[in-house]
Amino acid sequence: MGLSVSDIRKIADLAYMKMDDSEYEELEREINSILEMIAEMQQVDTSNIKPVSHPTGETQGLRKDQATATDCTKLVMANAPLEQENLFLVPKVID
Amino acid sequence: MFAKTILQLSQGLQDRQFSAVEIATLFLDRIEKFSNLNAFLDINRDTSLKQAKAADKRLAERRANPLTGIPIAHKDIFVTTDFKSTAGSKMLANYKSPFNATIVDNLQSAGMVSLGKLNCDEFAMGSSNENSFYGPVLNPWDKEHVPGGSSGGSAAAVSARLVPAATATDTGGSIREPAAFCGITGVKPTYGRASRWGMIAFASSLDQGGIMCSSAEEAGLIFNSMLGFDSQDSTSVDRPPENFNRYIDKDLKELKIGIPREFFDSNIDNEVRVAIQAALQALEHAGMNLIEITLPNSHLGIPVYYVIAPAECSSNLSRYDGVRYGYRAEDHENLTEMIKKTRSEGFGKEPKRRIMIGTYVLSQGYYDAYYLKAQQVRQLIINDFSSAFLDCDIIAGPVTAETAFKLGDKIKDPLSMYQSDFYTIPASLAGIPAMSIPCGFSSTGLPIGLQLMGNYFEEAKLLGVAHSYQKLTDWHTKMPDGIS
Repeated sequence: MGLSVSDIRKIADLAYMKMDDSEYEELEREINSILEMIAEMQQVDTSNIKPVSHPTGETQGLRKDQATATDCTKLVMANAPLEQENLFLVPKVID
Repeated sequence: MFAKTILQLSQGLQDRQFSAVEIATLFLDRIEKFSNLNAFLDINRDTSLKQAKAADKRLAERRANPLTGIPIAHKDIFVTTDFKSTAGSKMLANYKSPFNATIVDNLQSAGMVSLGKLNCDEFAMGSSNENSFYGPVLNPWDKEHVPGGSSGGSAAAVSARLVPAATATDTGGSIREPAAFCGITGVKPTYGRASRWGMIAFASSLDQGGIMCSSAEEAGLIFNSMLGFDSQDSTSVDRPPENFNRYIDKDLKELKIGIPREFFDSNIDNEVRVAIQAALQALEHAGMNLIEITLPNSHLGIPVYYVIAPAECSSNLSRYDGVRYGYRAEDHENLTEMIKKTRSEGFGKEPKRRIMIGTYVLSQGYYDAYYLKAQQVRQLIINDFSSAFLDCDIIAGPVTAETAFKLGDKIKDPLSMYQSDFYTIPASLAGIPAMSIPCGFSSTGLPIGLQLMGNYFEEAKLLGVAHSYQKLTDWHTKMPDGIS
C-alpha cells in the first residue's frame, strides 16, 4: 500500500514546504519506490535487539551549566534577513 | 612545486627553501587557473596570505610544527568566519558564520593556511556533487564524469593539486566514494573522533569529518592536529591524544586482512574487481594474511541508511525557516506562508526529497516501524563488524562497484544514485574508521579505490596498512593530465 499524492501533500504540509502539482506527482513516484526499497529492512527479526543511540556506545556528554559564549550579538544579527534593534522581524502574528 | 607531497613541502618550509606565502600564492593561482573544475566556492586571497605570513613568522621563530605553512581548504559544510559557509545550498548563499568549526580552528592553530571553501552536494546529500546549488564539480581525470559526492569539491581540488589537502565529511560514504573516483586518499575516523561543532548538520548520528590528501602518512599527520575531544560536541569521545602515524614504521606482517564475501557480488564491475584483487595480493606479498569473513547484514545497509539519514535530516533541517539567518522568500501574507515559501524556494530537490521521507518516517504512528526498527537493524550491522574483528585486524574491499559515472547519468534516478553507496554505508552505520586509497585505473583511465576499514579507534593501524600498501605501489602518486 503506497502513498497517494494527497498523502504527499500532507507530509509536505507537516514539513512546512509547498510545491507545484508536478513536484508532488514526481515525489509520489520517488518516495514510493524508496519506501519499497526500505521495506526489506522491516522484514528482519529484531526481537531483543536494542536500538543504537551512539555507534560506539558512548553516553551523551554534558557540560556545566555556565555561560561560555562571548557577546556576538552583532555577528549573529548580521545574518538576519530582517532585523530592527537586535530583534528578528517576521510578518505580524497577532492582530 | 604543486606536485610535492605535504612532507616535502613541510621540509622545504623548515629549511627555508621557500616561504608559506610563496606556497599559498602558487596554490591560489592554481585555484584561479583551474576554476573550470568548479571545486571552490569561496576564496579570499588577503585572508589566506595573512595566515601564510603568520606561518612564516612562526617558522622563522622556530615555533612551527610539521603542518605550519601547509595550505588546506575546507568543505563548505564546515563553518568559517573568514569565508562564506553555504553548505552548497541557496538557503545559506550569503551566510557568514560568527564562529569557526572546531576542526577549522584546530588546523589553523597548527599553522595550516586556509585557501577557501569547497563545493559539495547540498547539505552533503548526494554521491555525485550534482546536487550543489552552485553547479556540479568536474572530475579532473575526465571532465565528463562526476567527481563523486558529497565531498566532490574536496576530492577534485586535491586530485588536481589545487590544494595539498582538504577537509571533508562522511555520512554514508561522502569521503570514500569521491576519493575513489578522483584517485586520492580519503579517511573517515571513528564516529566521535572529529568534532562536529560547526559542521553543518545533516544526519547527526552518522556525520563525521575527515580528510582528503595524497597518502595515508599525510592523513595521519593531519589527524594528529585535527582530531580530539571537544566539549562543544556532545557526541565527541574523550580519549587521550595519540600519534596516528605510530604504525608507519611498524612491522605489520602478521596482520589479518578480512575480505567480506558479500563485497564481491555480481554487481561489481570486472575492472574494479581485478584491481581490488591485485591490491589484496600486494598486501599478501607484504606478509599480511588474507582471510574470508562475512558481513551477512551488509545488504540491509542502504534500507537502514535511507530511514536514519532522512529522519535525522528532516529534524536538523527544520531550523531553516528564514527567520534568523539564511534565505527568506519574498511576497507572503503571514508567518506560516513565509516559512513554507522560504523552505520550498531555498532547498533543492534532494534535501526536499529527504525531508519528505524523514518527516513521513517520524510522523505519528510510523516511528517504531521505521526509525526505531532501522536503529535496531543498525545494531545487527554493528554486530557483524564486531564478530568480524574478532578474526581480523582490518577489512578490505571495493569502495564502489564502478568507476566515476558520467555527469547526468544518475541524477534523474535517485534509487540508482543511492545504490552507489552500497560498500561504504555499512562502515558509516557502524561508526568505524574507514578509508579509500588509489589502487589502479580502468581501461578508460578513471581511478579505482581500495576500501580499508578498521575497528573502533584503530585509525593508526588502518593508516599503517594503507601506508604499507603505498610503500609497495605508486598509484597514489599518479596525477591527471592537464593540471600543469
